[in-house]
Amino acid sequence: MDVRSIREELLKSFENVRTLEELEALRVRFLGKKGVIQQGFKKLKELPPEEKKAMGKLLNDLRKEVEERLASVRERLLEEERKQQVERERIDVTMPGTELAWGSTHILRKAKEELQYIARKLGFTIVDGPEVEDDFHNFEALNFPPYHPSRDMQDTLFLPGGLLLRTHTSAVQIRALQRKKPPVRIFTVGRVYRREEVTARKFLAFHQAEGLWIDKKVSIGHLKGVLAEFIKGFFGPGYKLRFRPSYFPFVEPGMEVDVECVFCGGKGCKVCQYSGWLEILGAGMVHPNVLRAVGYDPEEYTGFAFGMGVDRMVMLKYGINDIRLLFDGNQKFLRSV
Amino acid sequence: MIVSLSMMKKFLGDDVNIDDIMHRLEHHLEVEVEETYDLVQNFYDVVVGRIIDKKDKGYVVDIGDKQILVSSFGTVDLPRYMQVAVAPVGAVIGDTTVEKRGQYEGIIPTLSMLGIPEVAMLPSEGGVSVFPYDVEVGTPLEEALGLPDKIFDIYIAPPRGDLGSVWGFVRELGRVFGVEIKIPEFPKVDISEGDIVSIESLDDTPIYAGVLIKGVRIEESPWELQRTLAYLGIRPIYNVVDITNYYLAVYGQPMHAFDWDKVKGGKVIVRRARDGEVITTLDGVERKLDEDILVIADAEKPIAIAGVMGGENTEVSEDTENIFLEVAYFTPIVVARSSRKLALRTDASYRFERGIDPSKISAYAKMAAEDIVKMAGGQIISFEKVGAEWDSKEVELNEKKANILVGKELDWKKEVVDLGFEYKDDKVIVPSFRHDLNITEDIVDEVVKKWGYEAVEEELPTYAVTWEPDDEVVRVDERLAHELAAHGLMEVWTLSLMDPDDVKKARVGEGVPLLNPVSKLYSVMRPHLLPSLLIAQKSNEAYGIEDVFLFEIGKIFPELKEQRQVGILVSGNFVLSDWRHLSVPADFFFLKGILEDIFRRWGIQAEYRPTEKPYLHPARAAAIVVDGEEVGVIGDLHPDIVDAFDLRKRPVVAFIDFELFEKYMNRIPKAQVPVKSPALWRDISMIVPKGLPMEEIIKAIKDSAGQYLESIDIFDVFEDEKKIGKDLRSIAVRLVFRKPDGAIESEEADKYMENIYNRLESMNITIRKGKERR
Repeated sequence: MDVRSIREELLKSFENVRTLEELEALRVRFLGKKGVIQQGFKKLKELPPEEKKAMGKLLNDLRKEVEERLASVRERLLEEERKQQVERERIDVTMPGTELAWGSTHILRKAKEELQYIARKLGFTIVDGPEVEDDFHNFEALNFPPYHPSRDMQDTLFLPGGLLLRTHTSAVQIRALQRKKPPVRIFTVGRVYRREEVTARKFLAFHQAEGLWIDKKVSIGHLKGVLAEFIKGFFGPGYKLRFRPSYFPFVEPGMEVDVECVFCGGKGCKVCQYSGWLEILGAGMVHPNVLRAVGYDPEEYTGFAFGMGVDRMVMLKYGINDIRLLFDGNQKFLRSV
Repeated sequence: MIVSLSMMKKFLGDDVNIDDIMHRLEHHLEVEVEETYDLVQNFYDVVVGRIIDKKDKGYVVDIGDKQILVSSFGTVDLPRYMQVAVAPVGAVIGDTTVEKRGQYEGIIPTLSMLGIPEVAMLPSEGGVSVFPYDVEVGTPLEEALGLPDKIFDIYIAPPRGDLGSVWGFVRELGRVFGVEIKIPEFPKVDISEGDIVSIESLDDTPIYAGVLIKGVRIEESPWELQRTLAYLGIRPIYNVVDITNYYLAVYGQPMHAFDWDKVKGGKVIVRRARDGEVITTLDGVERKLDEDILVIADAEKPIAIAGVMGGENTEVSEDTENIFLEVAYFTPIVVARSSRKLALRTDASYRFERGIDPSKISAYAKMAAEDIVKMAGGQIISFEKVGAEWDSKEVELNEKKANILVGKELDWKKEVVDLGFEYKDDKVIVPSFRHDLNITEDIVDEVVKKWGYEAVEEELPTYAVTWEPDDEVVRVDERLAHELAAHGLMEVWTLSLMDPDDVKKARVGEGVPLLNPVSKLYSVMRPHLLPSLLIAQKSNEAYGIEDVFLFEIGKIFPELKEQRQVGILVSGNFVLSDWRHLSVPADFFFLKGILEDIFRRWGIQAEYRPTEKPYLHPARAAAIVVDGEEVGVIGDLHPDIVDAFDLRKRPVVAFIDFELFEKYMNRIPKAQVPVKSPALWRDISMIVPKGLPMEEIIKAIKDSAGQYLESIDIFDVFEDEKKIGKDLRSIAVRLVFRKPDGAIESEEADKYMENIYNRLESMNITIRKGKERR
């Protein structure tokens, strides 16, 4: 048996191996029970003892070499196969992802939650109130006497039975004050209604956020201080506030609060109509008539209230030009914000 | 309020910087400049001319030094002898020089070409400015129009009636900004003669002046008065009315002139109307009156609604010779009530209900009467005054309270004097026209306004923060919304007002109607969320979106009982877009799966019972039952409603009472802790009668499966009359058994399976085969 020629054949065979199957066939051919090397070992005993040892060594070396070769070729083939597999599985990563009907909460809810989060942090309790109200809670207790011209400031939608759709969240103040005892710190966000011709800027319904604090010795300075914190929470720090006198029947003094335009930093832009300011809040010290209407002694207690239009803030923030979109179910819009 | 700069200047010192004041205005007063109109000269060599003839489709116009033929292009048919603005050849309007066109040597420009804003109510004919004869032909137009000028549109908060006139406004500028003002001379009137006026309702009418003037000529006012009124936003009419309007706009004092010869019995009586009395007001509307309404009456009947509008029966006309001029102080409440009860708002009622100046009634009466005589001729026959004027009133100042509000101790006497008011024994003496100043807070407001709010220092409070239960409902609402969104649903906040037709079409009863809707589209309160969601689906479909996954947690108002409802609508495919053809149809079981998962998370055990609702598919609808109580429904929309709303895809909807979630807010679901011991699967394939609900089969399996049954998974259901038989269905389920503390033996499972088979067979179910797997 010519081990040398076997070895040569073997090495040659390895060069031609392409697949793991071919490699296995080679392994069987050389290392299998009926393989060339086993056959060689079997034939050892037929050899004279002086050759036996040398031949045995040759066969052992050959087996070792074959095993090494097998291992290295296997490694090479596996590597190649993985490479091919990877290539077969190549995808176009620029194809679009699967689009499911991903859900989301409404943009107004997001704003509402943000406002409530800030209010809670400032120690206000979140309260809620009905949208169908009576004249007492929506007007009279808020110092809108019957027939008073201040009632014209808010065109009201009326319902049967002397009821109406609340024109402002201030009605919630009255209900909360009736239910609670001072000190009272409440915050509410809710839907209000006005009798308006429907346009891109005005709708029959919109949403207000409102805060109220009644306690002993609440001052105008407190109002300014708490509002400044509130604005920091909503817009981030660094924006100036500006207070201007204004009139709401349920506060005295009453004021409007402007925040430095967050879009242009006060330089003037389209959003702030080149004024550098955004008119966002109404505020004031709770009118003694309001306190009296809910049985609080205005000699003992003072307080402040502030309110803002939520829809307007959302529209400013997201560049929405039509308030009706906020009430629409158009998923294209809803998924965009 | 509309005010002109030229009118303000009559009360202002010459070197006032009005632009600067207008800029600072809203920082110190509860007013806002809403609009500023600049009246500037954007033309040259345009003059006032008189049309003396018409020729060749043009006008022959006298422009002073010559007559020219101008084009009639752009004008309505203007009559002869009318005086209009004329731009002859060579005149410039804006960037354009007027050129000769054919035989025409000029044009008649419209007010808008001349850049005069509509707010200036200049007399005009078809857009062309018209001038009376006291304007000389050839007068340069800029001179006739008094250019340049400015018109301000100013918003004034309701309590500041005192600012609602040029004089009142300027007077406040003087006080607040220290601007120099020229105080008009108000005549003193002490005598009262005549017996025309009789005030029966003294509480409503504290002061009433009446002037009888005989022999007036009713005609056009001089140009200067016309222009003055026009720039105050008032259209000139004729002399007597123009003068009363002038006092209204300039001094805030409404006045009314009656045709004296039409006043019966020579009497003017101020009294409450009698129930059932009627009057036709100047706007031609007949109005029913009642005892809440104050009227002016003659011996027979009402001739005006006091402080609101005059009556047709005593209207001044071109033929009027004798007039009775009324200048009065009616109380704000009586005028406000009349005006609102009659739904009639006028410039006069606007003034009265906000409160006019109670100190100058007779002075204004005298000034106006003299102006009338000067302008319309005639003679003052009598001047009568009832009641007494008052100059000031006292407002109590609680210094302790005031100090709390401003957050520091102030020398209030000094502050009050700085405001221009007097301070005596804790009482602030304020002018009687300040109807807005009544309590301590009003004085504080006045002081802080004068400082400007920037002068008040910010202060951060310290207080104990306590937990209060009010947050709960809000938290339920928030958590639920987030869970629905996490299940692939998009939240909507739809309008709660709707078209009654949509409510009817959706078969959810009727909405409570509004008493004063803006339009039918928004005229009832929705009794249910269904119509809102259907409209939302339709709006999406109209936009080309057919896969709709919406929910709303919204208020509904069945019979005005306001409550929250959870509404869900799904239609189409949950996979909106996928190029590998993935598909998850949004059917009944898709939505049911969402509900099941949400209920699981709230610890709610719900059962589903076939049900019928007018708006649901009769064979595909279930009541959601919790603790034996129906808390909601789920089902395909009724095909009739799909048609009624003309929907492209039939949606599946679900509605759940919000209260259910409130009830379960604090229920904690049992945590499922994964067990590591090996599970054992057994499949059952069975043929069951079609009418047998799955729920009963599952219950039977659970009841007979022993304690180690972990789950039942239905993995195949099919019906085939040929292969299985009529009214039967094939169902395959996989049972998973698992012991918490070790492997479950096959033999043990066999024992349970035997029980299950027996139980199922007792229910008329045929077991086809069982598979077993470890």
